[in-house]
Amino acid sequence: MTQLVKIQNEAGYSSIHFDGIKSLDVNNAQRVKAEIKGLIDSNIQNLAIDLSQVHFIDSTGFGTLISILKEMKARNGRLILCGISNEVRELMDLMQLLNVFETCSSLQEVAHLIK
Amino acid sequence: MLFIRSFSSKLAQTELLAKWLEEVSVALENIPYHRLRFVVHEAFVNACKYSATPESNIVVMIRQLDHLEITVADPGKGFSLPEDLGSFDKAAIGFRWNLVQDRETRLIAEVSDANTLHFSLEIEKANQEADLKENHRGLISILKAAQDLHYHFVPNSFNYLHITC
Repeated sequence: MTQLVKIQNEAGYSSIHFDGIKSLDVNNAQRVKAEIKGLIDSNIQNLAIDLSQVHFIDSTGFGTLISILKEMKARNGRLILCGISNEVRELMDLMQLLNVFETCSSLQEVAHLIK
Repeated sequence: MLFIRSFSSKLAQTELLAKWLEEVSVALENIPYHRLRFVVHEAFVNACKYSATPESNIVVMIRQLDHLEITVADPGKGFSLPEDLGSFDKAAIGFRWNLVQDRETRLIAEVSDANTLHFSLEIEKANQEADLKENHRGLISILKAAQDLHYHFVPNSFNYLHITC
């Protein structure tokens, strides 16, 4: 089965990229969560998720992101969401999640944030 | 304006639902497509989960008035009440209970008439360590994005999840 997510290791952080996923929802969220948790080993302290290709997230998808956030916090790490589209930002606002997640405009910005 | 479409009671239908809503949203005022999609999607997923038969259909109705009315109808089993309430009759009207209750969130169900539940949400600490609860996550999400939410159960017929935006 093809992986839905890919991980890339950078200096000081790892980044997660979705492969062809435009919607993080009830149809794929559990699989995405399992894949991400399988990819992030215990050495990873800072994790960025690139959401630039994602234009819709439902409550199950947000639940997955919250679950990963909790996992990173449990290891005293950080989760940064990057490249959030206007549509997803508005949904995060509706769900009162904008202040819950650390966000930035692009992956390039992550390196500055974690310094 | 009234829009009606029937979908198979399968989660995989959400993509088809999204495409239909994209067409519908062009004719609607006061609600952006992604917000409309979010609310209807959550209601549809809720109906899929509780629909009695996966082979059955779920009907989505959207009506533009001064506000937007969304109705998602499924042939499910209705809803269960707390055991101590007994039968669901007129005596139950006004009865309230918490479907979800913790430090931050209360999802409240109230029997508003003989076959109707009204849902409301109270959040103590918005924007704190937000958590989308595993149970009733869809209802909580709809209530964050909509003004009003009712669930109407007709014995031996359809259930109607009625949303006002």
